Amino acid sequence: MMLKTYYLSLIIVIAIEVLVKMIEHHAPHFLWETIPGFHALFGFVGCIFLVYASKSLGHKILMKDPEYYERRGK
Amino acid sequence: MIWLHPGVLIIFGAFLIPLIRWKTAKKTIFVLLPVLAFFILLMTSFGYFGSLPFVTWKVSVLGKELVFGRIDALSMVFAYVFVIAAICMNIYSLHVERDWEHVAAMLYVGSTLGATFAGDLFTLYIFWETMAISSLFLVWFRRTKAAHDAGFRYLLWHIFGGACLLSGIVMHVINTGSTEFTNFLSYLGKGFDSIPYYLMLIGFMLNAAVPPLHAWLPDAYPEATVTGAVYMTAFTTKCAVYTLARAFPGAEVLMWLGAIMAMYGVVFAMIQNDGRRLLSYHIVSQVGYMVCGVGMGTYLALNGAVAHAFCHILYKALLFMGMGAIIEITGRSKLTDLGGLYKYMPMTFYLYMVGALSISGLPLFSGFVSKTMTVYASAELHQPIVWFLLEGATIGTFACIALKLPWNVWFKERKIELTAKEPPKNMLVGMALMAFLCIFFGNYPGYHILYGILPYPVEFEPYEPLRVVETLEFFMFITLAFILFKNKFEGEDKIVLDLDWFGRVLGSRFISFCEGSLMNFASFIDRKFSNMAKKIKMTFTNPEHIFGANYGSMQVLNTKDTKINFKNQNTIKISTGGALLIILIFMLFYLAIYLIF
Repeated sequence: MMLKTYYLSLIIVIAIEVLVKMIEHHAPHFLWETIPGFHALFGFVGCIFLVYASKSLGHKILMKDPEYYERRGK
Repeated sequence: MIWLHPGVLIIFGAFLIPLIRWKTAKKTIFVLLPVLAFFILLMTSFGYFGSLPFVTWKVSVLGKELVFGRIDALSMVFAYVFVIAAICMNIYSLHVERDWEHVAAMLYVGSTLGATFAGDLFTLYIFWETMAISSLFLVWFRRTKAAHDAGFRYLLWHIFGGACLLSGIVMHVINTGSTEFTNFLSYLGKGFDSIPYYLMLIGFMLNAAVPPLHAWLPDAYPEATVTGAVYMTAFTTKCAVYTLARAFPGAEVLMWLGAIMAMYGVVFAMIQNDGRRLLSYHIVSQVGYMVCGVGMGTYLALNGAVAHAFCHILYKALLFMGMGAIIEITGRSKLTDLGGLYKYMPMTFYLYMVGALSISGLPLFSGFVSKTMTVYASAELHQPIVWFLLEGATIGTFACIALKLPWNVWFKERKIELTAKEPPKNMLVGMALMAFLCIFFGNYPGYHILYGILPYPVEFEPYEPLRVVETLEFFMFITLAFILFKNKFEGEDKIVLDLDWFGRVLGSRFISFCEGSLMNFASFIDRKFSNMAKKIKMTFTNPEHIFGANYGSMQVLNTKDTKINFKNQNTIKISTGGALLIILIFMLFYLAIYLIF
């Protein structure tokens, strides 16, 4: 139930954004600012990309056992 | 022109704390010191103690003037927030019984104020180093082995930074004869002549934790005491932002480094398991916005950087207070050791969330009114890459601090035994004050409150309908990604390597190489040479050894060698006549030498 309301609010917020963009005329600094729902896409894709990128970077190179430094020097 | 320097007041006032026996008086003084400093600042800005904008405390030493109190708009903003933060932090740490920890904290606060008001480079340097040393004790007071080691590493980094700064200062003073701490931007980019300024820049950048000089921050802060870490989040890095804004506003290198730094901190925070280490990486990330703003150098960007420093101090301290409360109560800091704390610590959760939403920059919270300035400045300068890095860092900030950490700590049910309760009242009061300020500045950035004290005139309205809607939309879709990929945000019981790996592993390998292989090689060479010398000596004292003849004279020196020699049977046997012949030849040789010379 709560999740459904949440999904609905996602759609509503995009609708409001498009509406505001139509009413107010902002001079865009970048081309993508004119795309409706750009921030939604950026947030969603960016978050997934960020978590996958950092996790794979971590698993491949950076993440070690908690005792790593005790075993290998200081 | 009498003006009591608030930093000096706090530094000297702090030493009253261990002198007084009566606990209530102790605590009163502890809280009163920053409150007094705040009133001094208020009166200063209204011109009670002399004329604005320059009120100076000048002392002449060795023909150079030390300026302790340069008060202008830039230093005042920072001084205000340092003092306000110190009031809340002191309340938060009232329950701590170790007097000297309070003294270290107050020295730290006082010296930061000193560095902020310093008008010349030597005064700046003195307070700069006092800051490093006093904050070091906040790490060491944790009294664990990890804290001890991290403290030493912290010290090494800051000694390096301080040395860079001092050598830069000395070279500058010798070259120009001026000790004034002012804008040095025009000196950059002139080949060898600008070396002193790059050295100063390195010193400042190290304290601002700009990669690759940042590793001390996420290394030491999580090891500090619960209350000490709260102080540390506010002062060192933000004082460095102040010095950068003072000395190098508009240095393009800072813009790029800052933008990279914002992203760097977020990526590393994403994979952390220690709560306070996660938050520490977000200091790196948030200071990135400020460094980037300073690097862009327009009025809007500089205002954004300063405003962001102002708000950041408040909400980051609040976040550290929340995480610190959990460590204080449970003794655990790893996400994988915590979970399901909401039923025990709901107050802490709500107060923490105010900080989390502020750092993310949700409308009506303080991050929104400052972060948007810097991001907007990058758009005005038409820097799409910088814009993307800064907005992208916002994604990570929200996902990590407002979603990942609270979910792991307060809600996720783990199979661990854990009971907790709300932290002591003074901690909650300190946090509540901070939370109030975060919401207050978020709601009323106003032209008389935050925007009114910024160094340059502000022509920026954060609450534009489109920006508010876009930000809401942005966060809601990040939350959607979080809900769909929840398992990716779970803590993993690992540590994450950073650039300090080079110091900690390669460095210790280098030392063990020096102690092992290199020393073996040296003693090998040593042995070879001493054997050679021994042989030469033998030969000239007893020339028969040229022929390898061994008549016992050599073996007397070392019984071990004798055994080997007898075993090897390498000795040449010469008859008595032969020996006499050799002796005769040598005697003739000596005679010839004698006759010639």
